[in-house]
Amino acid sequence: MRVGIISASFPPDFGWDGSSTRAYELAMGLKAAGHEVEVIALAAEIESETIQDGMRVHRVLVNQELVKLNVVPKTTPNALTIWSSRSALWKACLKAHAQRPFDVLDIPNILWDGLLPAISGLFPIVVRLQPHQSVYDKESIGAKSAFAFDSKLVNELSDLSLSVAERIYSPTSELAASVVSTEASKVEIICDPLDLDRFTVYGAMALPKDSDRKVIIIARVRDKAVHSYVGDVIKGVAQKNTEVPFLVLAEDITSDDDEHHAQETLKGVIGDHNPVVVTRAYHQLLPELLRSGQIVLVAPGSERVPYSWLEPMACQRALVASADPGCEQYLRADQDAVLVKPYDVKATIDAIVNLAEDRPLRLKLAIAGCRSVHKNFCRQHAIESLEALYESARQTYKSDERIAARVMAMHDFVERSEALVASYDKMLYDLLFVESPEFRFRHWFTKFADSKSPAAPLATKFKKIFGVKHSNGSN
Amino acid sequence: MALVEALAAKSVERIGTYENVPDVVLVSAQHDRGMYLLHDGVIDRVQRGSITGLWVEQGRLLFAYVAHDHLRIGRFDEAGDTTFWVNTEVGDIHDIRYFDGKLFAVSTVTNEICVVSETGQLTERTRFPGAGDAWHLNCLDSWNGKLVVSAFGEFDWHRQWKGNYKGQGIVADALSREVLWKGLSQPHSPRMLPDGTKCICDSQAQKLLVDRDGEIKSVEFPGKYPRGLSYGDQNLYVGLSQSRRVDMLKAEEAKAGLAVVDRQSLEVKQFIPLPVVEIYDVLVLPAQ
Repeated sequence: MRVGIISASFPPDFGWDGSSTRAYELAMGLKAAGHEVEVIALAAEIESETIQDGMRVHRVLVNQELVKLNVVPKTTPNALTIWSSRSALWKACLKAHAQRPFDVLDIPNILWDGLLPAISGLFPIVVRLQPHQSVYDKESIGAKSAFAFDSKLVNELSDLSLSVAERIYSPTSELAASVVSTEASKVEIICDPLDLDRFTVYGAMALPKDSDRKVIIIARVRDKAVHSYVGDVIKGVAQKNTEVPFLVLAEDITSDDDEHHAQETLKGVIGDHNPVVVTRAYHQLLPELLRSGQIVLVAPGSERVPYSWLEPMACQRALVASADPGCEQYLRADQDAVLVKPYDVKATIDAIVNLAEDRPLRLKLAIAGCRSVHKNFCRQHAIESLEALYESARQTYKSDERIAARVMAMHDFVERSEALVASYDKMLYDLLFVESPEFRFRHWFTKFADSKSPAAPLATKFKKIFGVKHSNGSN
Repeated sequence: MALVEALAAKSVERIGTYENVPDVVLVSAQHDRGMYLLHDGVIDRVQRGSITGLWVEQGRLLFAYVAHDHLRIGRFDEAGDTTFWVNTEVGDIHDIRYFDGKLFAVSTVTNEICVVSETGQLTERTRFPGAGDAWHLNCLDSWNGKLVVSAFGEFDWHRQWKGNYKGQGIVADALSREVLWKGLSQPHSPRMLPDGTKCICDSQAQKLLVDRDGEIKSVEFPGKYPRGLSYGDQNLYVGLSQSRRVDMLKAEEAKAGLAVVDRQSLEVKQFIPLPVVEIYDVLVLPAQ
């Protein structure tokens, strides 16, 4: 099958956060299963058509001309970000399809990624529901608009992508129920794929086994709150048990200089009394690095979730995880992992010391976690399920029933878009009110003229003199 | 000279002039400084990005990007087009070169030398003992028909060389791992000249070592980190970086550059400053 994947962020550009890693695992899994995979993704720096790991990857740049507009970024920043980044993806997708048609297009991350291809009806689209926003989108779509129109527009576009997609899949039934409650039963549950040939208990270690209680901390150390939390946890554990060494896998550093800086600043917080090594979370070395410890703590705000949970479990390491939103869909508390409240230093210290001192408990947790990952997140199993989903999408998408369903979806969208026009009108009115003193004068003058005040008729007479032509929107 | 002209046409900015250098020299730099082309008395910055190894094969320039999590090699042709190969199984590519008709790349983070196909896939992988970035393998060359590699030392564990590199550095046969030169400190850029002279940047010792029939002479560069070496008929060209931990924001004021050294007398003829902090590779481009 010739499978297209649209994912705004795809490694290595923009790093290896959870969403990007998922798209990567999906592409690599499909390729390993013998499919021809072509990926359309954003470029961090260089726009190019690249051969990556034996797959063709189209890298496109965000349309900076749109980002530089004057008013739109202030009023609808989120919609603009989506349009400026995704329009380039859609153009590349349509071009690739024109050169050699896709059998199916998978949208594994953000629903908007597939909006235009979905509307085009050129090929069957399969979309995945997404519990986490990618780091790319978090950083670029984080802007808050004062106008409700922005979020309404974004939601409508997301809903449209969902309603015209051929098939929908979700990593969990809970997510499916929360996003598409009325048709949750039609959503296929397909787990996030993980390469269990790489992440395994067997294999080399990157660091010497100088202790059977080494703790690995996976964290974004450049985040001040996380840095402080990590320092406090290390200090607290060292006070209770001096024989626990630490290895910090920093998710957010990418250079020697940053690594050196992180090592020094952490030393500044905890002193030299405990051996702590800070290293980058090298993608290629992750299994070896994870196998170098026995206990793994995933600090709050890890950008690689759910993979930062699943990978240590697959390597049969005892996991202590910050109970970030959505973790319950991947981890069973006290069975696969010990869950602690985010930033609860005391609970984290207790959990680590407990595991460090209780070898049977550590092993029990690690083995149960490993079994759970093998049962629920095997890449091969996920790809087989996806192949069946793609096949069914291909078979049904040209059927009369599906064509009618897409027409209905578009019809519904057109109806809803009328409400959008009203919201757009309100946004323009509010914007003019904020930005223009003249408009405000007219607004209040009209209000007064339309009021029941005894002086209102006089004001009405002067309307023409003041050039008041606008209504205040209430008429 | 079509490649030189194509590169010059890609000039991002002209940063200066120079005199009395008979060769066309290309310099790669880290920290997003890209590549600098010294040609016809002018210095053009011809590429952005953080770049390490350089190689020319059949009139096309190959260059590797610094990235700890993947391999990215660009191939620039005489028409001015660039093609990219990416592979995520290896990373932190320090050097590339063709040898025996195959494109070799040093993946420092995985402690291996691999052969990269034109589809970006790895067709051969030679792993060295030790885990992760144990040896800190870096630069390649061909010595008497053997592919050789410089490394910070024969360590066992990921980045064990940190703080332990003094006198541990080696140049080794990439296939047999026979040590050909030892006692170095953070060596880079092994080069064998056509007359059999062997050169190596003993970077942490701030020296260029030149071995002529067993007699080793050194050219000292106090306060600099020599890395990147190429040669023309008359000169050796040595990249001199600022010492590490320089504030990257001060790159414009950095005093890195290119030393022009007489091949016979080993006298430093001149220093051509470049607005970079760290130079990685130097390559004299072929006249044709």
